[in-house]
Amino acid sequence: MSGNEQFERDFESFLSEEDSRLAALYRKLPRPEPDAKLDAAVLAMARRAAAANPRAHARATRWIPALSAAAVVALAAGIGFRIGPTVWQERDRGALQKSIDEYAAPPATSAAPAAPAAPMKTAPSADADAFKDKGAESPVPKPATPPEPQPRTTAAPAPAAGYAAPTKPQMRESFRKTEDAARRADTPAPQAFPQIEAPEQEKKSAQPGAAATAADAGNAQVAGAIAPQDTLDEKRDQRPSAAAEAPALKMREESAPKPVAAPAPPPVQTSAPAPVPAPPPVMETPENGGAAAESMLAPTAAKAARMTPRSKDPNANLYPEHWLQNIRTMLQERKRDEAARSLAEFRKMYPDYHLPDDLRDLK
Amino acid sequence: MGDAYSDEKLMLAYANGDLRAFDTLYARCRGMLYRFILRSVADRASSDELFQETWSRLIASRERYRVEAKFSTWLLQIAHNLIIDGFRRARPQAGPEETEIVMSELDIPDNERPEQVLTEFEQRRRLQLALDGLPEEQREAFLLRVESGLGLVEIAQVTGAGQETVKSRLRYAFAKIREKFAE
Repeated sequence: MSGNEQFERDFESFLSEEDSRLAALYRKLPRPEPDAKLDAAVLAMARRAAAANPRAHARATRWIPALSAAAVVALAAGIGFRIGPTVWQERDRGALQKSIDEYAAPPATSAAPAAPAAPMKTAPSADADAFKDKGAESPVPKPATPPEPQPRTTAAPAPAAGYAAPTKPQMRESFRKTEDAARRADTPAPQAFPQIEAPEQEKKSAQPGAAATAADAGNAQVAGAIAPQDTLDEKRDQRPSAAAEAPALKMREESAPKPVAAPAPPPVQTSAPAPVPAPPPVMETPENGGAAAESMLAPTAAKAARMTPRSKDPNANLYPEHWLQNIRTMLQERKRDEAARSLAEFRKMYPDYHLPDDLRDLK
Repeated sequence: MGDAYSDEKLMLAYANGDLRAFDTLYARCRGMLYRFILRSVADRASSDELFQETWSRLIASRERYRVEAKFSTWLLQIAHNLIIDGFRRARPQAGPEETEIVMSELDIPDNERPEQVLTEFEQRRRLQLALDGLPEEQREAFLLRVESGLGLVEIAQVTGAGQETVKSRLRYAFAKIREKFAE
């Protein structure tokens, strides 16, 4: 065996770890290791890096955006539930007031928007929401099972099957009954219209389930508006209609065509109802928002007044009680002559209106 | 986290934040790496610095670690690159005195240093001197083979050279060391 062959064999053994002699000799060399200080430095470095591990950090922070979004949604929902009803109520009240004002100021050439068999629109949510603040004080008793709220439709193609909106003569009749009931009850002069029905309402409120929520009260109002004809007739006889008529009136007003080829001429106020105590001024605040809605819906005298001929006085388009309030404002502003003129117009327009004491003597 | 886990699994575990995995891995590899560096640069201070820097690089790049080779290959590759950079910055690597010692040892005639009469201590000393006298690339290949137990393929991966080149370097290193221990 030559030297080269021996070398190659030894080298192959070295490569395959069979050269035990050289490997063993190498292993007998001193085996230095890093000192403890160096070990501590490396381990500390590893710990620092792990503490700031971006992957672990990413895992930990992955939920932060999701949690933030959930918190924001929850917060927004909370705020919405807190202030939403108020905003919606204000909006609906505004819509209701607008529709009432539109009704109170018909086109100049129009005789009257009366349409006795006008297609009925399902009770608008504005009417329903207007009763929210009153809750159990709603003049309509809560039905055992509140009906499903009907979708808002602005132009129902066909008249409602079970209920035809009351005609103006019916309304006048109803209004007269209200006046009579008010006189019999000997209520104080400044009492508001709906308070005439207070005892009945209180009785109904005492019944189980009568403490309805505002929404339920609204639904009850809807139920009253779409109740069958006999039920409504009966109710109309029993309680003169502050609740049931107002939505119906509004519905009729919205659904009836405005440029009327009306079959019936507008009724004249001369056959208007007996004097009724004027309601107190209505300030629409969150506290008495229900009262404001009530005053908008309740006064049948106002409905009758809306059918009277127009006056040149700009207040003639207002409810009587609002007109009177404006007259009071004029007096407070020392515009006595203007107030007197306006009151004269008022008297001319509402000759049977029972004026409040503070305005009765104004000449 | 015991020894049942391979170096690669330990490294992956540490990359996921398991500190105990790193402790185990460090305990396994610290001696081998330190000796490889120390015998490559022959300077304790530089070895300490390079050792720490090697682990620092490993820690910093733990997110990019993929099990494509042995962990020790990756670790030694980092150290190799640092050593190469160090050599490039500081040539010559050995001082005049050290070179003098190595050369004087190499110049000793074979008949004046019969290994059979040398003590074991002397044999280790001769081996150390032979290692120091090897060219850089040959010494590194030899250390990777003997100290780290890497094969030709792995040494080629660490050093970035071809397998045949590595084999050639090893052959020259082996021959020079044998010369020191002529039988």
